[in-house]
Formats: sequence, structure tokens, C-alpha cells
Amino acid sequence: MSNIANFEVLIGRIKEGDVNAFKEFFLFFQPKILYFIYCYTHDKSAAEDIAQDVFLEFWKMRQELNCKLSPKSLLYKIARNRSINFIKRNHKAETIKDDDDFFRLNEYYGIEQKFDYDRLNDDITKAINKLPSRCRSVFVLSRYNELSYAEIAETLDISIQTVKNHISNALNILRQELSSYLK
Amino acid sequence: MKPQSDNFETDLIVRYLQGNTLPAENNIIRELIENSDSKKNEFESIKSLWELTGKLNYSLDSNLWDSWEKISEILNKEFEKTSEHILPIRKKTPFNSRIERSPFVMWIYRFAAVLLLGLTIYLLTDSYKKEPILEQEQEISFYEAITRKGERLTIKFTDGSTVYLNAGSKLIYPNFFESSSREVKLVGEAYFDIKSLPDKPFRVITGSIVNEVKGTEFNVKFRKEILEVVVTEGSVIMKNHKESLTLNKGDFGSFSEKEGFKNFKNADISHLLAWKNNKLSFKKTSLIEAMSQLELYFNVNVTFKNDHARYKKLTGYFDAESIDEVLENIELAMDISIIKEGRNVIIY
Repeated sequence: MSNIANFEVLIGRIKEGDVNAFKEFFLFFQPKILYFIYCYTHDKSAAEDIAQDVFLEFWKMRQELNCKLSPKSLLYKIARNRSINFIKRNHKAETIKDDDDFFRLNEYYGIEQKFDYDRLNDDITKAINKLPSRCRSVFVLSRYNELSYAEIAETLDISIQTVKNHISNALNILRQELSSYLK
Repeated sequence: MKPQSDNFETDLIVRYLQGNTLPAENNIIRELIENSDSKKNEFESIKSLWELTGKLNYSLDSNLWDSWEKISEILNKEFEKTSEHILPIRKKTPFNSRIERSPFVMWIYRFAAVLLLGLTIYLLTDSYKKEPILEQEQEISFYEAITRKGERLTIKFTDGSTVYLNAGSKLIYPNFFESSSREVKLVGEAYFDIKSLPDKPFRVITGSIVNEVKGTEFNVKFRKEILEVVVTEGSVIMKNHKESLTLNKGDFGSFSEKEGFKNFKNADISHLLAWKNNKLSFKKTSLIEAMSQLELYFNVNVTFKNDHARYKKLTGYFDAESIDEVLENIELAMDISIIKEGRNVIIY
């Protein structure tokens, strides 16, 4: 948790209903949660709506934050449930849109660099999308959401050993998919 | 199957790259790399893959601050809502919020119109006919108060009694009560708050059963040939041509042709009366039964596409302000998926 100086204190303040603390929490986690939800829904605007609901629900449940379930696991658990409900609701299998407008570039990349960066981004995204869905969730939680294996296990209701297996499986697939970038 | 050790090392390396390893584990990694070229290659390969995937720009092209503004707006609204509950002055009477204004007002007007008309006729006849008027046999006519799904009605009688009619119900009552008794007919569900008049008992007729009271508060539910009476104040006598059953405060009595009269003493009546306070309360209620209550309450149609879900038991107390909220809570509690499109609710 590099950007949040003291996570425990922050959670404590949220528990007491401190909106400023919640804001800090939101600003830190929202992009990560958004990407996590997007991995399920592959729908940008839906992901934004779901993310909003997720944070509101987390806020509603703030008093129930306890040591049983880590706050991060709780947050991602809500996100996962909502995402799955969304998929069911829309009778969508986890299909991936070709016209993926998801990834945009930061302005400071030059045109040429932008092109390379764009391609790399696309390729990584495609590779991640090739992972089986469970495996993808585990990898995304680990790589982009900085959850520990124990937290991932809690979030997805699986054992730590299963988390390890998924990670190892994900790395094998990604290594093949991204071989052109690797030595 | 991969050997367990492979998995173990991968895990160790990943945790090392995440910065989640202990110093002792770092030593193990260092040893592995130094002692074996293949391990070293494995480590380098995972490391470069890790770094490569780390270059992914995963942030959506969305405005974080706008998103926060939206959330904070909702939080502010909720904050106002809760403070409203704290102020007793602003407390709504439970029914005002739900009543369909027009039918309610309409009934009052009709009532007033009938009274006015009666009074006018009386005054006219009185002033023009000098002879004393015969005790005119005023004709009794009956009103039907009908609530459809999602509607509620409050009916005030001239004697000071009040009836709260739940959704999907019908109450038939006279334009005025006769001198010896007060009688109404009910199909559906209603809560009665009856003014005490010792020599003028109040009777609620439900099918073959007459529920008689002197002055009391009670809830009568008569749906699908099953009668359920809950007494919150005073006492109620349920009777048919053969038998009778007396219910006192706190009792819950029922009657059906099959099972006859039953009295459940010290029943938990709160969940049977929840509807009156705009609440929905379920106690080990099957989802199919709970949903039929929701259908009535919110005027929706529920379809089950998940047969297994029908008989799941639901226990809970819901604020029935918004159906979306109630459904969402049920969804979470029951681990099912509910979709609402307009007036249609589908359970998966």
C-alpha cells in the first residue's frame, strides 16, 4: 500500500464515518477496482456504474469492517459479486469486444512512443484476456491490485494453494502470449 | 501435473517481486539463483514477465474526480435523510407517504358530498314542510373501497374509526352505520382502529366468519380463503354459525375451512403488522411467498427462472421505501440474481 501512508488508520477513520478518509480511500482504489470490474464486464460505462455502487456499498458496510475479513477483500468481494450479477443480468458470457476503447494514453507520450506503447498495451490486454476467467481474476488482483494471496483467497472464496496454482498457470500462459517481448 | 516444487518456486519469486517475502525467503531465492543456471533463467524470465505486465496502463479513461463528485452527492443526500429521521417534527405519519392521494381525497369528498346533500335535503324539507317530519327511513347504500396492487387507502368513518386498507383489498361499508351495529365486509387485508361504542359492536365480515369487537385495534387478513387476525389492542371474537374464538391483545388467530379455528398465543405479531409502517418483514418465509407480498406491495410481476430459489427461506426486515433497495437486499441475502425491468421482476 505505497500511496496510502497508514492503511489501518484510514480504515479506522472510515469506520467512524469520516468522509474525507473515504475520499482518500476512493481516490486510491477506484482505478484499480474499475479495472478489476472491467475484466469481468468488458463494458466501460457499466464498469463505472458498478464501481460507484461498490464504493457506496462499502461505505454502507463500514461499521461492519472487522478483522474477520480484510477491508480490501471486502471491497473486491463486493466488486466481484456485482460484476457477476451484471454478467448474469445481461446474459453476457464474458465475451471480449474487439473495439476496445478501454485503454487510453496519457498525453505526455510522444506520437511515436505512443504508437509503441499502444501496441504493448493492446498485447498485454489481449494476453490477459486469454486467461481463463478465474485465473484472470487472480492474476489481476495480484498484479494490479496488490492483494496478498490470503486476501485473494478470501475475496474469491478459494484456498491459498489454488491462488498459487492460478498465478503459476497465468504466468505460463502470459509467457507464451508475450514471448515476442521477452528475451 | 507440474511438480509441487515448481509451483513453490514460482510463488516465492512472485512474492519476492511483489515485495512480500521475508528476509529468510530472500536468502532461499539468492541460493537458488546462485546454484543453478536453470533456476536463474526461470527467475529472470518471471521477473521480466512481471515487469512487462507492470507496464500495462490499466487506468480507465475516466474522470476520477467526477466519479467522486457523484458519490459524495449521494452520501450528502443520505446524510440529510438520516437527519430527517432524527427530527421528530418532520417525522411522517406512516401512511401519508404511501397513500395514493387521489382515491383518498376522492373518498373524503364523496363522503362529504353525501353528508352535505343529506343536510341540504333535511334543511329544505324542514323549512318548507311545517308539519313534523316522519323519521325518514334513510336508505342504506354501500361503498366499495378497492385498492389495486401497490395502492393503499385510509378510510375514516363518521364514528371516529379508521381503517387502513392494504394493497389488493376490498372493503365494503355503508354510507352510515345503523343504530344497533357497525358492519363492514373485507376481502384482502386491513388494519382496523375502532372507536369504542359499547352498545354498537363493530363487525368485520370475512367470508363465513364474523369478527366482532367493541373497541380495539386489530389486523385482519383474508386472502385465499384463509383468515388471519392479529390483535394489538383490546379483544376480538371470531365466530361462524357453529363456533367462536376469542382473541386477546397479542394473540394471532386463524381460520380456514380445512383447519378450523386456531389461536396462537403470544405470537410475534410485529412482522405481521410491518406493512402498516411501510415495512416488509419476513420470518423464514419462502421466497415465493415473500415475492407475492412484494408483488402486491409494489405492483410488480415476479417470475422465477430459478426453481431452486422458490423455496429458499427469507428472514429479514426491510424498509419498503424503494423496491430496488428491497430487491437488492434480498439478492445479497439469498445469493440469487434478481433483474428488474419496469414492472417485471425476474429471479435467476
